[in-house]
Amino acid sequence: MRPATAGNIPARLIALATLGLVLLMGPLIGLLIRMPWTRLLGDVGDAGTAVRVSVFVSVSATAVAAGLGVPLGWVLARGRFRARAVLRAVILLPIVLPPVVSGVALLASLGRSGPIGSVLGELFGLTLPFTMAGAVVAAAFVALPFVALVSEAGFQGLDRNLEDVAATLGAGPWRRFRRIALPQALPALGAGLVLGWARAIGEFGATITFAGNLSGRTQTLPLAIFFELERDPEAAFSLSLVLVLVSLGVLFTARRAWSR
Amino acid sequence: MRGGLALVAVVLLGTACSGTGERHLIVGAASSMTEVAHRLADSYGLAHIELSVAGSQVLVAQVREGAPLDVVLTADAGTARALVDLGAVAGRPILFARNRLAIAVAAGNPLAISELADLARPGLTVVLAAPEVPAGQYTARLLENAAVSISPSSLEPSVRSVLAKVQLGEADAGIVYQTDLERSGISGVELPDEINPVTEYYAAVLKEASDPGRAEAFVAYLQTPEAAGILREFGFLA
Amino acid sequence: MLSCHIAAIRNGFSLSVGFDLTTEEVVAVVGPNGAGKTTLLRVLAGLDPVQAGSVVVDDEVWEDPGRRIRLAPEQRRVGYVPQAALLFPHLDVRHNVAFGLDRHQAQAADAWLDRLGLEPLADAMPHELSGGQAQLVAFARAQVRRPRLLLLDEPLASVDAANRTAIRRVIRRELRDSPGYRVLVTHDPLEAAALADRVVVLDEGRVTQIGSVDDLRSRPRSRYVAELVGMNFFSGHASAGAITLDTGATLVSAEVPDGPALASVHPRAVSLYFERPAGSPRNVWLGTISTIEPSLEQVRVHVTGPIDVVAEVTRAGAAAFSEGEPVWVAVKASEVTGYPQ
Repeated sequence: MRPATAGNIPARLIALATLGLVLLMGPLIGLLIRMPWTRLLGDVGDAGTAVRVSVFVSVSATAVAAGLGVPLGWVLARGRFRARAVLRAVILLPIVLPPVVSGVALLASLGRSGPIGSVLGELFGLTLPFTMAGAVVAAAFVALPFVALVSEAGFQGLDRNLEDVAATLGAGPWRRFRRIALPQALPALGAGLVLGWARAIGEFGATITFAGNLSGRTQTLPLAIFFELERDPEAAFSLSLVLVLVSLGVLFTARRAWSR
Repeated sequence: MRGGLALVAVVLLGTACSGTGERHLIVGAASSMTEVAHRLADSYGLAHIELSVAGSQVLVAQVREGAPLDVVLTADAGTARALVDLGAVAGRPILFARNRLAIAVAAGNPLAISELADLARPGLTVVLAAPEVPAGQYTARLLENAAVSISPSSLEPSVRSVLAKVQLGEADAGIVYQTDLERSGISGVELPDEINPVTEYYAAVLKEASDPGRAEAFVAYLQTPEAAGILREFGFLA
Repeated sequence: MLSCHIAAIRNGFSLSVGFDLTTEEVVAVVGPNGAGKTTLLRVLAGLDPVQAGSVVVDDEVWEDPGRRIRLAPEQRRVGYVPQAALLFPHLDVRHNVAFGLDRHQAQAADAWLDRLGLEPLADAMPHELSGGQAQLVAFARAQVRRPRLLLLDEPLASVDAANRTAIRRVIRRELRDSPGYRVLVTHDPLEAAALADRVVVLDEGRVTQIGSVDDLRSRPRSRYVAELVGMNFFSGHASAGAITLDTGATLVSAEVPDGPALASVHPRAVSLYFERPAGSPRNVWLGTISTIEPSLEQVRVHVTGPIDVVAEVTRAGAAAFSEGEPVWVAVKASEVTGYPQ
């Protein structure tokens, strides 16, 4: 590949790109300037419970999103049915919906009196609102589209002839998926999982609407930051910075690991 | 480049200045006052009162970060004090209404909840307002006065989301303001005066108000018999 | 017996072929690009569906849309060696070869690696292999399952010239030793001659000729086949040993039944002279040299005239000719192979 040199980029695009970067970086820099550095460690220690809940919820949600999103991506990539465009739009929905709307929709369906939620309650005694499982469902709901669509793109990029060859070697549909497509699509799937995880750990609106807010159970780091803003704004700054740095770190290392 | 930059500039400037054409009075109100604040604004008659409803802690944060509010209606003395401490208030906050707490339950009270101690029943899903918001602080005082201990399922970011969780049937009971129960379609259980903390509503004119005279006039209106009638209609004590 | 009589329509291209084959012979499907060769292999492998007809192998119906029968590729006992080898890039050579085996048969993979001299490469990844090595691995991967039907798509296309002879020898040996049905696709008549006993000529989705390489060479049934095997080709109407060509000229043959006829002449049997030859040749005419096309040993001289022909002469002999010059052409009647259309 040719190394990109500044000489290749028109000055007007550089100007607009710089402006865009300022818009993206400004809030981050503001956070750094207002940061009460001496209190950082203490504040993070105090938020230990929320950090633990966040880690557990985001990782579980990513696992759920992987378990459901990768098959969805495969169906989109290899399925031969007309409703694919509609299905793709439906899968995209949680990305564009305001998270609160996602939370309301989850309450309407999976809440105690929702059509699915009431069945879950009657059959398994399972209630999702105000439980950690509910927080996982909310986070998985918003993470799933990233996993599904990035997986689909990954699967689309594979050489289908390899799956054909595998079929002539006696491999049925499951084996072709498991032994041929999945290993080859791993880099793309990894990227999808990281994006999904990043969305899950930052999730706020759907969680507070659907799962509520209780320390140690459903209060994730973003919720803790929201309430901390009233009690102790400086602590909110510390915790926000932690969330920013952790997310940045994971996105950065994941990109390096998977961009071969 | 000029085209692109100009487009960005026009969009940003246009949206940033959109309020200056017509002079609005921007009133920030605690979420427990959503309906009554709208009614008060209507009856005051000034064509351009813009209401910005949010939880008290969000209101304080907005003021701290310089949101262009003229008047703030808080749901407790603490929030009003926080605004004063920020040095944002012109003059002193004015007490203009009071409220009290009640238990919100599903319509018809199917679980036969009759007193605060019933909320401690095992298996009951109870949501409360978070201690960061005024309703949560009043609730804490209420439980302390009654010497009742509840393990809530959630500490909600505003008293209105406590109400919503009960309305949606996700929670069996919640503690809300008496006024919240008006027109809510669900049932309420009143609480005895001895334990019920009286909540206080303050109106504060901000130093940064774009037109302090009009802001003062609106706050003065809140203390008239007409405004008091509207407040009583919504269940406030005025 | 394997019987394949099918019609398949795919992306506007229609393939309509019928042939039978036995386990006694290796069959090469030959045809120009776009003739449908690969589609035919994919149909036999079960990768592409057919609209009509049937594929029957040893009395087992693999495909018959009329009876709603269609075995999936994994249910057919086929071995498919695709054109570009298409090894699984994430598996090493051993695991590529063992892919189609159950776990307890894994040592069969090593036996095949051994047999094809690939065992030093067993742990190599596909991207480390040359085109020829990859082709052999793909071959082993298909053969290790002992398929009833072995399909090879252009087995030497991705092999560089230096290794082609060696790889061709291995594939030829293995094809001979394979017990099942064997079909290979190629655009190269030399490859077909080297590897196959019988040739199916495919053009624009239709079979134009089936026969041994010798049949094709002596009696091509179309201009395409004639060019493929490097023969001069004529069609016309025969009467009393003389064929009146479609162009109006006449070609005398030693032996040709009356009626619509085809004829072939080997380029080496076409003689060129600067002056009208005396003596016995029955077919003599004056033409013009259009192109002179050298190859390693021989030179092909294209002559236009009442009858367009190609003559093959030695390099030394060709030195005397130059393009655009008139030349006398002579062909003995005994060298004109005439046969009914």
